[in-house]
Amino acid sequence: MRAFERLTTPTGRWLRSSVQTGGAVGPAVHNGPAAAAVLAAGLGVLALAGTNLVSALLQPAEEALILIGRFALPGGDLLVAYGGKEVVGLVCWLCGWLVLHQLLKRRQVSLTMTAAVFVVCLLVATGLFWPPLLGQLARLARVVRLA
Amino acid sequence: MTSGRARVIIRLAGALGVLAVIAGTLGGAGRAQAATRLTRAPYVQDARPTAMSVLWRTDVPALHSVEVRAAGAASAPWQAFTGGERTTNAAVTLTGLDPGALYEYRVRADGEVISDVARFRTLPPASADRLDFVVYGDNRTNHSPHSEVVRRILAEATPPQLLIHTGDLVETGGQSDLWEVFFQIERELLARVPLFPAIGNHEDDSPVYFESFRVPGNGTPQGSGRWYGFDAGPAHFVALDVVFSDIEPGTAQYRWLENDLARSDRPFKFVYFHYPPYNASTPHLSSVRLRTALENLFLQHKVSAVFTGHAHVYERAEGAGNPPLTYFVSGGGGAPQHTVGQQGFTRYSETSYHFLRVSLRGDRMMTTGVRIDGSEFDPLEARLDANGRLAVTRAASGQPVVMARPSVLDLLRSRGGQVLAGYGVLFGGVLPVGLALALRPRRRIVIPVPSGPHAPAPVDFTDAYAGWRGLPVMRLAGGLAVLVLVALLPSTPLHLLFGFDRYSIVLTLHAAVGLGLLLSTAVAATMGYRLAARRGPAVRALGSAVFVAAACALTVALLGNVLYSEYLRSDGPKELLIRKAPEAHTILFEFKEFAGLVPLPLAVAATYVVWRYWEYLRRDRYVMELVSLVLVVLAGYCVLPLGLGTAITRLRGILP
Repeated sequence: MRAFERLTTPTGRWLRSSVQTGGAVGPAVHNGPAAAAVLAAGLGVLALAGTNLVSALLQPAEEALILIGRFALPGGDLLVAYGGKEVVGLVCWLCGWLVLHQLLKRRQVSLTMTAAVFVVCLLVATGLFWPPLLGQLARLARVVRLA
Repeated sequence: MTSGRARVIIRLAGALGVLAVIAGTLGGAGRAQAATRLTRAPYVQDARPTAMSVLWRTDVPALHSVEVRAAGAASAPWQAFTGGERTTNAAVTLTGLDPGALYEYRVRADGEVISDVARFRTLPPASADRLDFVVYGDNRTNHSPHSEVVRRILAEATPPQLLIHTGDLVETGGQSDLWEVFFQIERELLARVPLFPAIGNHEDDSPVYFESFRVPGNGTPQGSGRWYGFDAGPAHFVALDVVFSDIEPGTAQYRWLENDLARSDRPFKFVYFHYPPYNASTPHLSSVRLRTALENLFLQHKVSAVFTGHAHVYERAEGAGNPPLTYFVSGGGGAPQHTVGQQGFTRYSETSYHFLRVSLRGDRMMTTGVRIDGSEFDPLEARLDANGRLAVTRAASGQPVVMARPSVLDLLRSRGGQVLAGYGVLFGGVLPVGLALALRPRRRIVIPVPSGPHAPAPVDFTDAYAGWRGLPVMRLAGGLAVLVLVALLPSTPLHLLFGFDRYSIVLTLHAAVGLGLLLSTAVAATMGYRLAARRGPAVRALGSAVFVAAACALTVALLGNVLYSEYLRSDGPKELLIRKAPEAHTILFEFKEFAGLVPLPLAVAATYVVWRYWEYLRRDRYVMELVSLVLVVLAGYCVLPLGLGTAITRLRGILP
């Protein structure tokens, strides 16, 4: 029995039908969609962390983030810029996933590179989340700008 | 010949020596002139009717002095006041001045004049029946509107005699460079008009703040520089520290305030501090804590008006009392703007960069908001009644006026909105395309999965626990544990543990779902690892675990938003943490909030891959290993916020 034929749940059937078929001997399975999903998750987290830096460096961006949070989230008024950062991170993640999926859905890609990019994204993002480091970066940028 | 050559050499040496001496002298003189340079221009502080302090900073230590004379008396001699010792932080107090008089001054370092001549006016005497002053606050972060506000104050037809600042002068109080930016922007204004600040939460209780301002003393060692009072003409002013010091009845600050207000005999009494007791704008809203602690005292001592900041808007509100006490929020000095709101106490509210002009004439007080484009808003007139209370006699509108909130169009038109749109295109389009192009091979590769009679059988994993006799026993024990729990629950005083108000319910749910996220992620990570190591259990179990993890991650993020908004509001835990342990807010809470969002995309990605590839995961160990990596990272990112959350609950003596 083919592996995909074991799926019996509605979700499973939908997923099974979404697996690309090709070739004469059976369904072709590419690892591109897996890579796209993982890369998009990494990029999404990085985008979320990047909003921290952008709002610290560009004051108008912080005001825009407050507005975005207010427009997009119920109760976003109360979250100040945090709500806007969530929304921007979410949009970047989903858009990035869509783009990556479209470009990689019928491709075999290096999953080692995928894993490396994913891990680097998360490491950089964690650094940008860490307030003392973020503060130093923002301070450095201000010094450069003033100079 | 030899002696002649020697003479030439001696002459040359002599000439060189003379040149060296001249060059050294000139260079030395140049150095002496450049040696003492202003790093912070002179500014006036701690103004009184007969005294004024001048502060400034230089790049190297020097003996400092101030020369002062009556303004316009060009032929009059300068009167010199010297500082005590060589220092870079100069502070010289000028005494014996005339009340309400205009003076000009300049500063010297080591005898050299190092500043331009500037003018200040001493505070008016008690007998004066008029006073003009400006209230502004929250000028942190955005230097451009801050500069505009300062420029507009300088352009006032009737120059203010003093400046009241409601706090948040800089974004991060501990960063000296930000203070230098502040003083650079305010340079011209502070050289002329004394600033009386109230400390804000962004000052971070930093020593730099206390070193930068010389304010009147209050007779208590712990409150020095934090809360103080002073007189100016017909008014008595009181600055409070409601951010880093306790203000509840019985505290040192409250007792001092009570005595100070009782002692004052001025017809007008103004109190100013950072957090607003009445404020309809979001996100901060009102500080009910301060309202409860202070309002009765204000009414009892006939306080004329209260000025606050923190909310980056202008709002005029009516509090308790008859006539009602007027509260102003003036936090439009430059910080990112907040959104106006309207509550029953709101009389006027708008979001704008502005300052508040206040004029006292006899028994009348006039206030007007002034935007940075020079337009004016919310003109108000109030008069002292027979009991000495200030009553509004004329306002622009009898009805509450609240300006429209900004729209999506405003967002799209703004520079920040455009920056963020570019940011979204970068992360949502350019980077993904770049990554895809970098990662994908030149040729499209199709790897058919063999099936039918030619297909090799999938690798058959043997579940390590299959056939384990202990499994039925474990299942039985688990079932019994659940039964015992269900039996015990009704008699457990859960209300003592959790509480049943909205906040407590959300908090409990957040913690429970977070725990569920941690457990499901741990299970999924273990299964993923075992599957990647070809010792795996059924894919179905893995699929269920990652699906539960994704659902939990989404729920945790949504509930986290509710809790975070509670955390941020006035009187919320954030204010408490800032007062008691600011680093706990910065390091623990802010970091935790962002780290808590990471599990969602990771769990969704893992769920997608597992459900997308399903049994194929058994055939492709590389995909399975990728999923395992994501699950292990996910588990780490679940432990991190949970650990930080637990740490926050252990802040004994800080959180109630």
